[in-house]
Amino acid sequence: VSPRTARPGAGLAIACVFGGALIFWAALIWASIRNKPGWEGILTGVFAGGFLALLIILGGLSLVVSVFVRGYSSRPAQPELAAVQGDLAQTLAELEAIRKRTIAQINLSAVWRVPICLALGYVAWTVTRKPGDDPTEIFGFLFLGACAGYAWAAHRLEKAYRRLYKQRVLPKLAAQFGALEWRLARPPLDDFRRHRLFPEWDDCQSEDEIAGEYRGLPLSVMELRLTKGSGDDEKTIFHGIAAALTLPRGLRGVTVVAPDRGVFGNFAERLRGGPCQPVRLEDPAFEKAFEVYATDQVAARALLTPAFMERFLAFAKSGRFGAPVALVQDNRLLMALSVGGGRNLFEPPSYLKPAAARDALAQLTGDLEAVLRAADAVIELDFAATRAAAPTP
Amino acid sequence: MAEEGPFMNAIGWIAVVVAAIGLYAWYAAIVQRRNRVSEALSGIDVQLSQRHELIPNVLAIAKRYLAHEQQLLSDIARLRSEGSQRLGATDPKAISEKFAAENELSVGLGRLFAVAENYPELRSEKLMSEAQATYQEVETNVAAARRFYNASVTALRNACQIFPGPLLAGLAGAGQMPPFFEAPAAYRGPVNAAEHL
Repeated sequence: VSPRTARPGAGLAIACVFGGALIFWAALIWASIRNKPGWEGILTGVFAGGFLALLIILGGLSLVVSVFVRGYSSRPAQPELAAVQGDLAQTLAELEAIRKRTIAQINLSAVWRVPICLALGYVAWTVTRKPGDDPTEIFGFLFLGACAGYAWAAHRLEKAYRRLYKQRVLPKLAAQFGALEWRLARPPLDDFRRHRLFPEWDDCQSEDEIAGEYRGLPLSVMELRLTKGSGDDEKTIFHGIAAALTLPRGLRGVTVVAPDRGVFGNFAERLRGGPCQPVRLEDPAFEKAFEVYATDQVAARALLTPAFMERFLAFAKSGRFGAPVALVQDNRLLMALSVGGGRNLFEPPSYLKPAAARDALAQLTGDLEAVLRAADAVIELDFAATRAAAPTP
Repeated sequence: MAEEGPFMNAIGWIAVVVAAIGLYAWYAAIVQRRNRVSEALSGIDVQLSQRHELIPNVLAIAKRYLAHEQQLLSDIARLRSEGSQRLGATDPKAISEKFAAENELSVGLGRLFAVAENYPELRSEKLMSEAQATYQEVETNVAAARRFYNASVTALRNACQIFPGPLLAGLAGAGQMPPFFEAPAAYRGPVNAAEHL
């Protein structure tokens, strides 16, 4: 256990915390008496102010300890690291050191940003208050100010830490599943728009892409979120996984498989024109569930063999993902699979958690497994189709 | 009664105009579907010619190992030659004959690759395995072209055989129905799962 020693200035910081809390308490008693003269005002000020002053002391002391006392850590990170071996353990140890530096930087930054925002909160309260307003409303303003100050101090550093965590840990986790690596996602948005894979969207959020060779095929899997509108009117058009795979086939042209949009939706889609023509297929169940458009009728059917259609339908009905959307450009098959829930995939742990936190690593590994299961399903779709299409003497 | 005359006349004219527009739309649909069948037929020819182009290479490799399968090899060469001459046929009878010959050729090629499976040296020949992979790709495309063609023929037949289609089919140049391109009978039989286990 490393010895814990205080940095110079710790005593002064503690005195400031207690002093500030006392001044705050006194101010509150004064405001309360002014608002309601008599015993009621005094008691309200003493007890409510005392409680809040106590909270300020606790928060302040915690901050002082984390900033001024060396060797302090809210959680022991070493036991978590023991479960991870090799390169990953080394990387996590480095990240743990960076995380601690990040916390220290955030706290140092918060030391002046939080008071500034508290002052701004006080100014906002004085500007907006009216005669007869409850003076305790000031606590709301101060609380918001303190939160804003801390968020201001943490935002940039936290973002940098999370980005770094992804860049260093995800490639190592991905490598356990094959010749895969993590990189910043570059979704083919122009193709999505040109072939109208999704209804109109305004904004695309896509950060993470797992790419490389998987089961002998070039693969790329990325998380994708498409939204329309902004603020309260923001609507998620698509949230899920886009898995792109280069098939060992001689396909050509463009084929789009999209969920059926109903009689009027399909008619409107056809009226919009474009290079792709509707493809009528023999499988009535598939025809009912999906609309297919293609630049080459024969190539579309070479891809959408009866076996492929059957498995595609079974995949859509499996419930693991929402209705799949497929775009095939020559031999490149891209499938967009919507996922339920609003949780983002590949989210690194917060800087408040140890870098080697077991639950966070398990979550990231689980996310990788989920996207690779989606890739497996896409690969199986085509393997089954080509096996079924192979003539049997 | 005197006022009903012009009103009835107007309704009659409207009915005639609506019927004329309907008949023209039906006629246009038949022409469109007939052209779609022609497009699908030419798509089949493209795929069949790819199959034909593959055969000389396959035969050249197979001859080195399958000397005692001369009959099979010469049958395939003959069927290829006949099939090549029939490419581009537009007459329904000639199209039927072409499809029958191509099915025969497909069965012959399937048998050749099945026989090749019994010769490890031939199977391990790099060119042969490449040819087999290409053959599977070509057959997938032939099957896809066949499905497109059959779907187009079904649509044309529906338009020609549902009233008023029979009145317009001859006028639209679709008097004779093109045949369906059936898969070879050998491939349509029941599958013995035990053979694949």
